[in-house]
Amino acid sequence: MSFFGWKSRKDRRAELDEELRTHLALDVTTRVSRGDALADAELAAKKEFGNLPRFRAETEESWGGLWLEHAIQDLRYALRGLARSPGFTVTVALTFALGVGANAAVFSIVEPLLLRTPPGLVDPGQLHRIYHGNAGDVGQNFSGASYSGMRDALAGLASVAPRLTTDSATLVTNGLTIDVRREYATAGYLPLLTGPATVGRYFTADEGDARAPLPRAVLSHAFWQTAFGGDRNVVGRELRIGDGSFTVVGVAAPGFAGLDVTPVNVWTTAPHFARTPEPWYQWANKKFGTLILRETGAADHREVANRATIAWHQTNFANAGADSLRAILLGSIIEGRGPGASRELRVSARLAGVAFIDLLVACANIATLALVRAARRRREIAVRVALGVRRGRLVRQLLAETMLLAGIGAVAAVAIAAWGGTALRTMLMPETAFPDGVLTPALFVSIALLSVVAGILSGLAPAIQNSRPDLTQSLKEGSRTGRIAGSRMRSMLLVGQSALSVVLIVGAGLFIRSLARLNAVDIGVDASRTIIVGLRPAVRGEEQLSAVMNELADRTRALPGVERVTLATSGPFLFWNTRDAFLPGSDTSVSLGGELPAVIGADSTFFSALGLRMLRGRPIRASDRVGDAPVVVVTESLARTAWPSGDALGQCLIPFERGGRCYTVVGVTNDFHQWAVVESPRMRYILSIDQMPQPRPGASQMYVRANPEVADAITAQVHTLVREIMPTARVMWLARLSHALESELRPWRVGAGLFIALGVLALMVATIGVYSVLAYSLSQRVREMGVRIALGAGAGEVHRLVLWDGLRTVMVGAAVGLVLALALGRLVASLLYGVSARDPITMAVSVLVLLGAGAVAGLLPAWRASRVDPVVALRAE
Amino acid sequence: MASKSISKLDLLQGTLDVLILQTLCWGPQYGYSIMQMIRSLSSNVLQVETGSLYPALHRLEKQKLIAAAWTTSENNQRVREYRITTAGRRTLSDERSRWEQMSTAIAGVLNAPIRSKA
Repeated sequence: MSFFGWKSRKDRRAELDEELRTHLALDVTTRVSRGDALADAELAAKKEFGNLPRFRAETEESWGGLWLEHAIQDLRYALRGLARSPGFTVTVALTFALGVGANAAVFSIVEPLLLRTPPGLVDPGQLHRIYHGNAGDVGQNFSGASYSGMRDALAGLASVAPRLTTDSATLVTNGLTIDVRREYATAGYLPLLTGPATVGRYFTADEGDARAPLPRAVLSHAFWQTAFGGDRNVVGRELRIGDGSFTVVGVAAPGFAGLDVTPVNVWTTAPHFARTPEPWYQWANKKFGTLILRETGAADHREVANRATIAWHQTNFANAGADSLRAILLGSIIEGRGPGASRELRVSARLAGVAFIDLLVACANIATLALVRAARRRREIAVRVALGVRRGRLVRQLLAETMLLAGIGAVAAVAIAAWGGTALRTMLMPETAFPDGVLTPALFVSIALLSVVAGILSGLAPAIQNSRPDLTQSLKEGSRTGRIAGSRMRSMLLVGQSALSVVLIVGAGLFIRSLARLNAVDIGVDASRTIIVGLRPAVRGEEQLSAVMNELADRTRALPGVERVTLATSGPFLFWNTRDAFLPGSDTSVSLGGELPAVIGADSTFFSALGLRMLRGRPIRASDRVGDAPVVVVTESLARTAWPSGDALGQCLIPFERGGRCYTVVGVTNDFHQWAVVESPRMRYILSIDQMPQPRPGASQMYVRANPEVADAITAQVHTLVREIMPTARVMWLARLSHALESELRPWRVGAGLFIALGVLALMVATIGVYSVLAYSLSQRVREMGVRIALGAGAGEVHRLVLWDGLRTVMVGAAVGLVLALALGRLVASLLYGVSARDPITMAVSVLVLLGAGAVAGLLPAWRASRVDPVVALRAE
Repeated sequence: MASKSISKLDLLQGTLDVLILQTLCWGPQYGYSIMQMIRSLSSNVLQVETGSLYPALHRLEKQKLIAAAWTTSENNQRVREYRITTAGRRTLSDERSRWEQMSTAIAGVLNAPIRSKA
């Protein structure tokens, strides 16, 4: 077959044969015409013709393009070689698969979060997320006043749009209920990010930016296609989304689905903003969300950041003192790259590094195994060299074996990546709905690239090393004794593997210690027994509220397994209600680290329901009523701040307004956390609900203390009760406290788990490496062992000899690894809790673990060495 | 026939190439006729082996110094006919002048008068 003059090798071969046949025939004809007999002529012609196969091969060589032919030959040769040693094949292919697969699995979580720009953005390079920060401490929530201030200050340089919250809601259309991801948006948000609407339009200023936004919705292009079949008449339709009814005004530009990894289906205005007394864009104390900024043309980064910083300081009244050193930072539109990336994300970025280290260990190990294997085949290679195989060809042949194994490994790596990537996503980020599966084209490309790189990394050095055997030596002495080729390279590879293993084990150790510290943190309340119920009932007036809340509390109390139920105006993990508190004669409220205290209006069961401990005095009692002497219970940190030297009991605290009524401190309770396991101490004071000054929020938070064994069931039952008693209420949070905390601890837990898994993997691989090298060098030294034993060396001495051989290399590796771990420590320092990245105990234990593994690797060879029969060993030559 | 056979090793590779190119200068030829022509022109001294000829032809073709096509010979035989290209003529003239230089130089050495040491 011929395409445009290109002929296949087979066709050319056929042509050559025809050409040669013609040549032969012509020769015979000539001879016959000269008078020879036909039979003689044929014989003479053939004789003169010569060795056909040889010069046919030579002719073919002149065609070029032989590399492909050679590559196929090399692969066949490699395949035959591998088939002869299935143990080596399986070990190496599996090592490749684990190394590449682990990387690909991590890639499948890192790629969408760190590398992929959200789709459908116009000029994403101009877009930034805005953060405020000081050193490593970064925040990204802004108030409405800060938004307006920065927008005005940056006019001409950049446009700013607020980014509001995202939630999951149900959308009802044509009697069909669909779960959707909804993002609240102002008028400026969508036009700032993406192209013009596919159908209809985006929100106008009257709809989205008004004091009281009108209920309007814009559908995402993808959602419009799937849920509405691309029907253009959807514009103008009323949709029920969550607890409101919204009019569809348009469909967003194709591709655009918000800025997060989880795609947004629908954008709505935020009519609930109308409930606050002042317009949202003037909120000075309340932070509504984050900000997105688009630079116009040739705006200077620094100029934009400086102006924004000044504007922010001028408008950030609520926290002016504490934030005075913070500056505005412009971050990437890809959240994972910004300074405020979540802990989960930072853990996965580190995991990518860890997985890569694993791959390096795997490559080093395969190189070691390949060196050992090639050393065993020294004689075969020497024969091939003697027969005239060129060096380049030999390197290619040896490399072909590793590449073939890498290829087999790559196939298995796809399976590992598919499984591991899915597991990683659900373990580390269960709340993130990734837009596509794990097996994307990008993943296949990355697996292919990694496999090629790994194959070359681990195959090239041994191939070069072994392609220059000392011919006479190798042929004469065979494969049993003689100089051990590449023994220095082998030791270096072993040192490298051990060192990297130590780094990973140290990493795992640091995560385990962090997790242990976190688990030991006392959050002040009894997490396993507490169910938190945060509600926003849609009722008017205090009386109506207390009626429904009391009904809920009473019916909850009647559930079996419930020990205590309390109602409060605010409280831990639900609502932080900042309120000034004054000491008599002082003009400013007590504060701790720039933060004001919070007030809790509680009843008498609050303390026992949450499991608080009274350090001094008594809790609030049911007898502390409106007309009685006003009392207050303070937390330990407030007591220490307000009365550093004296006894808090009996002192006077004036809540809310300067010069108000004096409340007598009757008790001091322990500090308890407000939102997280990791947080600095905060001050609180607790009043009896009855005695609380106005204006006071309603007691819409409920805490249930339940038997931990049935707490999950009770949580579900309370949910049913809420639906029944107040069907219109918004449930802000209803969960067991221990479950709520779980998501905070998850990055540490998963991080520890994966660091351990990858560390153990590296350790195992390194152990196999040490073992195979020891076993090999022992096979080279059988005679030596035989002589030693014959001369009276005991089993103990032989054991020590072999073990020491392995441990020496491992110890050098451990030392190098320690230095590396100390140097790399700062990369994980921000993810640790309560433990230094240079924690000496972790370092010491890691080294011991590695030495232990080295000893284990040496045990079998050592035992075998001591069992060498001197007679057999000496006669074997 | 007591002709001397020049084997691959004897006949320098470059020389065979030049001979082939020169032969083709007089018109298109196929493998067998090239061989016959070199033999008769050298009065049976240069006998090119089949094993050298065909690799050389294919090598020259790959270098685009000659081109090949299938045609029918005078006695109706399907043959692969080779033809010299422009690049081939250029190479030939280069090689030719180099060869002449070389042979003059060698001749100079061989024909030099013997000088006695005394």
